[in-house]
Amino acid sequence: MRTPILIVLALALGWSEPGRTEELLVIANPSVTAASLSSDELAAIYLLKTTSWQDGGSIVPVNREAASSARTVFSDAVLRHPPNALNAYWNQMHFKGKVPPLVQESDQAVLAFVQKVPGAIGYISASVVPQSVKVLTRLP
Amino acid sequence: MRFLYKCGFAVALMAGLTTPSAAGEYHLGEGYTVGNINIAGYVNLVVEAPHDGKTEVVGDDLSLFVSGRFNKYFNPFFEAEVTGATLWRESSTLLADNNPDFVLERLYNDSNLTENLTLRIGKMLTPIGEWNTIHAAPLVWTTTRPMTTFRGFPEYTSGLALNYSPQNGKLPEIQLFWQPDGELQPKPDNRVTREYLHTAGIHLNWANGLTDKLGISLQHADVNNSDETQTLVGLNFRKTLGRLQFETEATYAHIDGRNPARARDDEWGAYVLGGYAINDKWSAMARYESFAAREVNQGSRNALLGLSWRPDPAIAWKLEYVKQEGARLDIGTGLYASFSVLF
Repeated sequence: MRTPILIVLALALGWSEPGRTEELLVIANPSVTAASLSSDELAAIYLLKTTSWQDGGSIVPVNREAASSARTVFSDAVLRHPPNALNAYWNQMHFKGKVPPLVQESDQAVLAFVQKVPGAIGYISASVVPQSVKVLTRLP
Repeated sequence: MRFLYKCGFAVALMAGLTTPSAAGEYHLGEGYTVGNINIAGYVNLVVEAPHDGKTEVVGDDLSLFVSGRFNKYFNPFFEAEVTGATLWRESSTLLADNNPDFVLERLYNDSNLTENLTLRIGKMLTPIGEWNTIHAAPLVWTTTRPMTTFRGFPEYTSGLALNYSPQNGKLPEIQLFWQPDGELQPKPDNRVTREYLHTAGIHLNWANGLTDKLGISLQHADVNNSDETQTLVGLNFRKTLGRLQFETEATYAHIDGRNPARARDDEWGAYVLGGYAINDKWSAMARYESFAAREVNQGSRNALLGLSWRPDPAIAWKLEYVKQEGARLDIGTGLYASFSVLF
């Protein structure tokens, strides 16, 4: 009798598995020839150090908005710098002529953008079906 | 005015080459992207209250920059600004002394020869030190700009640059730059200390993480309308230790050639700046600079204490008090404040 009561209480309090992190899929436009990317390669793309794919096509990285949990997970797993430091860095790079990753404000918007734009790369929640895109890796 | 039309035409031409499918959502500081074009800019409103002058409110910069990425070889960049708009001056009426200038800051194309090597052709910011290449008000620590970061060398290079950006972070980035003649669309005379011709130089930069770096610069240039030539060496360094960031730049130039108006054959400057992040938005900073200008025997020194508030990474409110001693060059004792936005 006691166990069902505890389960109900736990559900009511929104109990979840401790330490569980949102999983992400890194997706790319089907035109991208790369089969997978390491964390370091991804970081080089989002920090604007690598700007073209191996075939010479431009890389168009897509970020989620600063307040999103997906961006927090991605930044922690791949970029490994605090949000303010990243924003300041991207602002400086922008002034130097390198356009920071474009922002899209939902998984669906990222997916639609990456489906449509050649060379685009982005990340979406692993719970979203990655239709008509190439999955390059899973995070974290 | 014809030049303004040409710039407008260039922007319109770039806009006409876009593919609207790649539009991003607008966020402050990131510019607006449509297709292959990104349009951005910044505005800087400054209040200057020097002890030896009148208080002014100046629209220091209203800058617009447009960049395009089309293919490996065609990646143009354009920046122009309206600067020095005195909006109000003590004992005067609103806008009575308003004589802003239009300045072409950058106009170049980048061709990516390889993943690591880029050829830049056009007018660009000279990579001597760090401040000159990121001088937009929202990106720098203080309202007043250290003289070391602009007074002894040409801020712009009109010509060619070869930029090497290694994938291996242990190797330095290398920028070789060359200006075969004069500057493209130079700044008005009242906004520069002197003009330069036939410049050539190199900048090496070792980056560590996102912000920390060590840079070395070397440049040779002829001084316009004179027999003078100068050779300059520069050093820039930034280190972050937790909430504290320390940065310094120093330049030394040796000047050859006859010029009776010159008081010394060398010119040097250095500043050290410490910034402390009180929290995510507030910072306190202190700076000391010494500058020995070629045209005066006496050196110039200034010390600064200030605060900044950044409610957003693209917005900066700054307030600083500067105490100046020695030769009065560009910075005087007084209170300075600014509000700037990167958009």
